[in-house]
Amino acid sequence: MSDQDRPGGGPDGDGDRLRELERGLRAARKADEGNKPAADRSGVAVAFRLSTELVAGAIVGALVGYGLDYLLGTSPWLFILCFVFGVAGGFLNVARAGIRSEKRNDGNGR
Amino acid sequence: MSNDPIHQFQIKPIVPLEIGGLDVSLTNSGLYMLGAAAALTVFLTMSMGGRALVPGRVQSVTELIYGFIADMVRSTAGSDGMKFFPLVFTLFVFILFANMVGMFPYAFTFTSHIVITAVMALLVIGIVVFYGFYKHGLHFLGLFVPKGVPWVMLPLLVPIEIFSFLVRPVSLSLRLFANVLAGHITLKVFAGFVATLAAVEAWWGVPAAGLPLLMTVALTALEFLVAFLQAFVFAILTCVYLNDAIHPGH
Repeated sequence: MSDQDRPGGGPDGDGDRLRELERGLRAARKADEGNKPAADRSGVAVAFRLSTELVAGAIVGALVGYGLDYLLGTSPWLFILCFVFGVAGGFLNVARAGIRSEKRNDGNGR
Repeated sequence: MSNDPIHQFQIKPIVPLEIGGLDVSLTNSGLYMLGAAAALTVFLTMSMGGRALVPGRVQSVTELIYGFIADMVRSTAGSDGMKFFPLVFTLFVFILFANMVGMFPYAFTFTSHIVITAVMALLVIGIVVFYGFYKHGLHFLGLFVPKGVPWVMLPLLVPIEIFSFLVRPVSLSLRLFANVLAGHITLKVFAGFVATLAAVEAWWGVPAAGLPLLMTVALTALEFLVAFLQAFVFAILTCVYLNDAIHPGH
């Protein structure tokens, strides 16, 4: 194959090819806009985040309540109260994470 | 006993050492920590050693990790959060290397010990609290008071907010530790089934051993995914919590 046969072999052809490349790049960049890293949206990552949140809430609430009861001698009232607050806190974290990932999926992420 | 699935997590002193009555021996856990830190330092410096304009294969891996974390920090904690980029990057790479090194047969996985993950989680939360008070003073406590809520609800909501904050270090450490621990135990148990079934003196013994073997292969792939995902989740949650310290308004 000689140089003349190749598309865009001459100096003018090179310019054409460069322009074509430029156009291609611009199109690719446009398509990529607002495209956050893929793993960011990965449902698995979100699922892994949420699974522990509830358990941890219950554990923290129970431990804090038990500790305060032990110190203040108010057993079992603070235990019950803190346990409920702890579970609620866990749920709050789950809700927050859900809202956050939803926002990001809408494309107007923070 | 080689079939004991918990045996792999045992801590053994390698260089016994005692300072002031404290046992500070170098254990297999500590050795693997040093190993992971050394391996990632060597990998990162070597791969960037050339600083080629057009990156080679190894250099582009490092650049990809850098870009990935930088993007994550910027999109989660804003551009103010970039001052914490070194922290997030180090945590991510350290946990990633720890989990990946732990995937080698006979290797020790130190992220399967809650002491290690708890210290990392407390470091993150400690920085969040310290930076929050340093930057915003007592306004940082506004984090616990949700906006636009009638004051009657505050006695109920403020404790919930405080507990949701207290839960963070626990869930952060628990998640990494539990996933790695459970994954390695499951792998060991299924691998144990292979040996047990293959030893059965019946015609179906060896063919039946193929089933848990298949499962072990599948689980190994899953563990590699978990090894990456847990490092990623730890890093992104670090960013989310740092965001609260940088912008406590929301």
